[in-house]
Amino acid sequence: MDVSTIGYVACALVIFLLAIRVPIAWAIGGVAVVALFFVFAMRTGEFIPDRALLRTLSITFSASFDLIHSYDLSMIPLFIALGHVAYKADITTEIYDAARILLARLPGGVAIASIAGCGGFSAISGSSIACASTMGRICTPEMLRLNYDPRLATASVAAGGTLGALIPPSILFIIYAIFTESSIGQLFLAGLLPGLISMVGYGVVVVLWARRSPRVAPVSEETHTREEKVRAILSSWPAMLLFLIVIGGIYGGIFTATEAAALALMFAVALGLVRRKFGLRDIVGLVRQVTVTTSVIFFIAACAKVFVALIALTGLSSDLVNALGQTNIGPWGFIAMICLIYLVLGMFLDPVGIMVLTLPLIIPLVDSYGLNLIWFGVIIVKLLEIGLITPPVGLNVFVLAAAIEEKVKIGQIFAGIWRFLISDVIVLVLLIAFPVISLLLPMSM
Amino acid sequence: MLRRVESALDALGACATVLLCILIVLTVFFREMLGFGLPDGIILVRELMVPAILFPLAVATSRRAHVSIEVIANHFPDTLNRWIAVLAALVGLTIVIAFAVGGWQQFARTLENGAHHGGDLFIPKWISRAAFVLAFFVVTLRMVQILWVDLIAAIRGRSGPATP
Repeated sequence: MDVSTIGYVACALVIFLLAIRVPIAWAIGGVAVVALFFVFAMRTGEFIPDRALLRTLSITFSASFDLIHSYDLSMIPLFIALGHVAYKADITTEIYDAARILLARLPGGVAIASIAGCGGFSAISGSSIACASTMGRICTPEMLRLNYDPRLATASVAAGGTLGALIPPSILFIIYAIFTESSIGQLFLAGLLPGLISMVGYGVVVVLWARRSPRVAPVSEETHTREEKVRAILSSWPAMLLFLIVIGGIYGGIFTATEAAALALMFAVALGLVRRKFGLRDIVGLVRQVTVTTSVIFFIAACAKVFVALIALTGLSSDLVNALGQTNIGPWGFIAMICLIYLVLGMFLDPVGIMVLTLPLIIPLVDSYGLNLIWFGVIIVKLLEIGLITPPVGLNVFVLAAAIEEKVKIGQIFAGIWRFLISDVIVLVLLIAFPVISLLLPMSM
Repeated sequence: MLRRVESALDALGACATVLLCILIVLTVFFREMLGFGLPDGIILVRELMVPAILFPLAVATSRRAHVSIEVIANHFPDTLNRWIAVLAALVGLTIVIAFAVGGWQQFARTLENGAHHGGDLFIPKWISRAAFVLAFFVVTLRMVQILWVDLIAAIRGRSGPATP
């Protein structure tokens, strides 16, 4: 058996194990280790296990250790902790309250405020799932209390939660940067405009839906004076300051993304302490509530790094590049193919899993077409964002259903989602057709 | 006992996250206000990343918090799913043991040759390798326990108890 055959068998085995519910990290890591052993043992064509085990263990250790022993990636635990601390310090609730007061009179105003709140939360936390879970607990019960249609009350938050993937800081952009060796700061900036456009798109969906069927979003009787509106805007200053630290710091070249994460977390902790939302002794406890999430994400990435080493050693990427070269598919055909693959995978797999499984194979192809990696990253993350709300495994939908203790059935949430998916597809087409939307900010740095 | 060790490691991981946050903030403060960086600040953050990320992994494993795809397997009969859980634990054990043994080799090597990161403080390289080995040693123990519980459940044909 030659090494490339081992590579193909390993890929097939991983897909099989994933399908039967073996955890992603275990499947890709376990298969990669065994396959690496065979690659080293059969390099000469005969099975010679001497030293193969040592080489396998050495490459397994170095691939994973180098990933974890990283200064830049320390921003991942910091941004994840930031989202949780900001919630405990009431910063996220203030964003939603401000948006609700400002947008109350619009058709579907509270739903639009929820989407804006999700956008605000996304700007201080990098996780779509955390966004859907946190904002779901704040916004959905409020909309249900105001007699909003359950489909609108849930689908708007599930879709809004996906903004966490595009609006910086985004964990998905950081993982994409790991595999493509791109600049995390440039990716963050590239995601900002597409994230805002997606947010506006969701808002338009709510307005159109509420205009067409006014009973889905009863018009609020609430009136607010100008002073109340100004006070609402001013009360959300902590969220604005956090956003300024993260984006302003990176864009202005004052901080690196890692430094911005640490400063933002420190600020959120200080604010929580000043507001007496938690005490000094609670800080480690607060961070402990998100350590498992961080650990699981990194473990998948570490195992994926071992799998990447296997892909490199077996030459699968170059085989794919050559095969694609013979088919004469142009860059647009390639992009269309990628969209199709990611949309289908997004229906079944979680975003991190899709990235770690596909990027090692796809990035050499992207390079061979000479496509811009930053722009391509935005397209990929937008596709993954769509996958978060497409049935049957729209992760955000399940997380939201759990957050609201299944007061609304999952089927009902999905019934409201399709309108937001139309908006997502339109935005995706815009992002593909006009790369400048993604590249404007990174190019102006 | 194992649960206590996992809980202690998780707490240490959280402490490491807090510490690395403080270190980065101090580095920015020193650079912007005093014009010089914290000695070996970047190396210290990298060293802290190992416990921050890997120490909570045993708790994640005991909670069975690793991400998997449910769609197809949800339609399998319970008996088949119980044996799949055994297979999953075996596959998981393979990678975890590889990490633990690979880490041990590197730890022994860096301890033997006295390798360090250089810089101002000459921080030895074996410390983060030791943290790596410790984390995966505890995860391995937990994986063995999970394998045992799942195997017994599959043989007896009924659901196993929740992992303690």
